[in-house]
Order: sequence, then structure tokens, then C-alpha cells
Amino acid sequence: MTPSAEQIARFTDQLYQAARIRFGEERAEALRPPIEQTAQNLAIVSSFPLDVEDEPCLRTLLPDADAAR
Amino acid sequence: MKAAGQGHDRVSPVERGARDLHELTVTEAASRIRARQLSPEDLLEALLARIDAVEPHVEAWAHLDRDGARAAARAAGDEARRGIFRGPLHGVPIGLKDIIHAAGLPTEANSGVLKGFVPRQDATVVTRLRAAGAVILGKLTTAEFAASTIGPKTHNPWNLNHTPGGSSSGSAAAVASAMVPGAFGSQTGGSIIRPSAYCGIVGLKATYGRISLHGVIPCAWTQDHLGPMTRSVADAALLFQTTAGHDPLDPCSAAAPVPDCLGALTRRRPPRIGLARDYFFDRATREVVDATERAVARLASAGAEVREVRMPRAIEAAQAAVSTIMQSESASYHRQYLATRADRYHPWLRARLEAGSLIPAECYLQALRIRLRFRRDVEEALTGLDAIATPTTPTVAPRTLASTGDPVFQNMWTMAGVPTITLPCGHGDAGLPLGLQLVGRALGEAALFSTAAWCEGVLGPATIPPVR
Repeated sequence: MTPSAEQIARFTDQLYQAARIRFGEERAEALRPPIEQTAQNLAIVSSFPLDVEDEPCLRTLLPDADAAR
Repeated sequence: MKAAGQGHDRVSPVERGARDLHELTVTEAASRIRARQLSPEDLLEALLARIDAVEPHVEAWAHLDRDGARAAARAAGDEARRGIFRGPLHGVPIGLKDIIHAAGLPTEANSGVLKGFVPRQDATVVTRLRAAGAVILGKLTTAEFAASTIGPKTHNPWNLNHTPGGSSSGSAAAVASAMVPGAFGSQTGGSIIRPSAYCGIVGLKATYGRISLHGVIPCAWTQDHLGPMTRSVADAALLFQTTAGHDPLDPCSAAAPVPDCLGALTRRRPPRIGLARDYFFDRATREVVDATERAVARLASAGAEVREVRMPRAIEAAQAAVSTIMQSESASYHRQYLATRADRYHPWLRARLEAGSLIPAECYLQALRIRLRFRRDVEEALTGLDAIATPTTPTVAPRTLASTGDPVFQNMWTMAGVPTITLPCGHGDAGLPLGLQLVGRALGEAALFSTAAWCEGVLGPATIPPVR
């Protein structure tokens, strides 16, 4: 469940490349600290094992919908 | 030398009573006004005098509306003298975090992006407060857009060198220092519960969707909550009861009927509490662990049934999911502002929002799935319990004004959308307060208030610090 250093590095690189394209070289460099923090979270989220029934269904955000299920 | 009581003729009734009046809770003030033992005007003047004395040290207000509050208090006083009472908060001043719209009052969210913005309409929560007779006293400081970890100018009234927490910094500090008996804050991670604990007051984060977010500047749509911050559980219940309930103007408003939380306060059955040492005690300081153990031991001695509860396996992933959801949704909300006014943000928040805009959709959706799994697991952990108890924060309020502290003990419950409340449970280093956090079931506010009121009866009420 704990992400590997490679997974974190992969997300860091992916976000950094996206930042270069969207914001340019200089700004992407300035975004390195939050990108590294974000990449760590994404690696944890991505490596968490979920079941098929763990749906992202937005209707279940509301407790009423939960009760109605 | 004067004998006791001499000299009162030259002191107005307001001045004579000012020392005591500002200390009244919401419930006490409302009750005295209804019994015509206190006028809304006298209560307001006592609070304004308190603000004059304390605010230069605490700096909790973003915009204090003296004139508007005086006009509203005068109207409430006129009505009270004619036997007209609008509702349970008639004549009681309330403060608002500066992301909540109140018509005619600046709402700037502590950001250059919204400098000078004055909404023309009330948020639904403000409409409901005014309908209940509340006097809106002004706007309280927030971290920028309730999204930054960098604090506003506000100081912790228990020790001015420490943060009051955030992002509802001003709400916590103003209520704790008795500048206002109650306030509303918001929580997307830990922004009601953490500052409430740091400042030694009661804070409630209700079930997601319970209190309308219409007219509130969003931080992250699916995790934003409003909630009362007060000096007693009864006050939190009263403010919740007054403002909760379905709002067709808020697409995420819960349709479920609001339970009788004031009635629940009188059901004083010893609760069944699950103590979550697991996960929390490993991350807390020794003084926090000791204070929590002592508080729970007192509850057990008084008759509470206490057993250990294990935290769901998803709790670690939940922490990462919270940040992923918050960053993604915040980036989406701020997209337009970032395109046109990026230079008006604090550089830290701008960078975090820009980084959030890069999060892949697949990761955002994975985080939503983790949220639902965690929420199901929390409901399961609550089986046979009235509430889960944890330390509210890993430490006392940090000695800094640059950071609002760590939300690690609050944000997973926010993400799950379940109700939580914090109560003062002692003091740690440097006399700073500590909180006990109680977690309840979705829509289970009545049971949570009942449990919290019982615990407050054992642990004692919030106290007001000597500000200096």
C-alpha cells in the first residue's frame, strides 16, 4: 500500500511535464515543491487497492442517498 | 475611600454590567433577552467594549460592523419591549467567517483577489440567523480563501505568540476571548474543529449537506461544511438547530429532516465511546496523549462505557485522498481567477492551486472511491457506539502565526462527511487548551450532541482566557 519511490518519481515527472506545457519552463520550476507534495499523495491514492464495488458514484456523497440505497 | 457599591450612580448600567455581559453564552444571552432581563442594546455595547479592550491584541475581526449591529440591536430591543421575539436568537450577536456572504458587508476571504467585494445578498445561513433574531456583528478573519495553511494576522487568546489555528482563525479567537458569544466557521479539512480545540471552545462540523453552503465562497465543493463555534455544547446545538435543514438553493443540501438536537441535550444517558488510540496516539505528543487518557478515564469513571476501536485500513490513504480532492476542486473553482488575477494570490496558495490543476482525472476519481470506502468503514467502526473519541489535534497550538497547524486528526472525518464535535478537555504546555474530538454517524447530530453534552458535564465547560 505504501507507494514506492519509483511511483512517486513517476507522478512527479508526469506533473512537472504537464506544468511545463501549461505554464512554461520557469513557472514549472517554481511549482516543484507543491508538485512533489502532490505527487506523493497521488502515488498513495493510486496504490490503494479498491474493489470493483468501491464506486465513485457522486450521488452517495449525500447521506440521504446513502440511506435510500 | 469609597464603600463597596458607592460611585455606581456615575456609571451607566451598561458599563456596570459590561464585565459580566460579554461572558454570557448564546443560550444565556437569548434567555435573558427573552425574559426581558437584558436588552440587546446593552448586550451589544458590552461586547463592543470587550472588543475595544481585546481586539488590539487578538486581531480576530476582518470587518466589524458597529453601525449595522447597533441598528439591528436597536430594532431587536424595540421588538422585545413590545413582546415580539423573532426566534431563539433574538438580539444575540453572531460573527461570520469572512467567506460567508452578508449583504452590504465586505467579503474578501483574506485575498487580494476579492479586495473590495461586497455581496448584495445574504448566504442562506445568514438569512436563517437573521430570521431567528441574531444580530450580525461582523466578519472574522480566515486563511486566504479558507484554502491556505498560512494564517491571517490573528493571535491565540490563550497565548498571543501562538496560532489560533485556521482557517476559521478569527471565529475561534473571537469566541474564545468573549468578543462574541458564537460564530460560524467553515471546514474543508480541519478548519472548524482544529481552531476550536486550539482556542479551548466547542466547534461542530455537521454532516455534509446539513447546513446550506449557498452564499459561501467554496474551497472544495464536496468537502465544504459550515458549522457553529461556541463556548458550550448547548450553544452549538442551538446554532445548528437554527441554521440546519434543506435549502433548494444549495444543490448539495441534504433533504433529511433535522432532528431535535436541543431535546437531545436533556437525554443524559452515559454514552458508549470508542477510544481511537490506534493511528492517533502514535502521531500525538505525550501531553496530548496524557490529556486524552485522563479525559476518557474521567468519562469512564462517571459511567461512560469506553472500549478501544480500531481505525479503518483506509485511513492512511484517506489522508492522501483528502488532499487530492481538495486540490483538484479548489483548482477548478479558482480557474477563472488564476487566469485573470494570479498575481493577487499569496504565492504559496497560487502554487498549490496551479499544482492542483495538473491532477489527472483518474487520480481524482480514485480519491473519491477511497472516500466512500473510508466512510463505509467508519460507519462500521461506529457499530454499537454513540461516538468515536480521538484527541482533536496532535499538539497544542503551535508557537507561530505563520501556520495554522496540522489538520491530520480532522480531515479524514471531513472527507467522510460524518459529524464531529470538539470539546475542551484540559490544558497542555504554556497553558494552551486541548480538545477531545467526538465522531458520530452521518445525520446523527442528535446522538452526537447528547453524547457531547454528557461529556461536557463531566469534563467541565469552556473557560475564557485572560487576554494580555
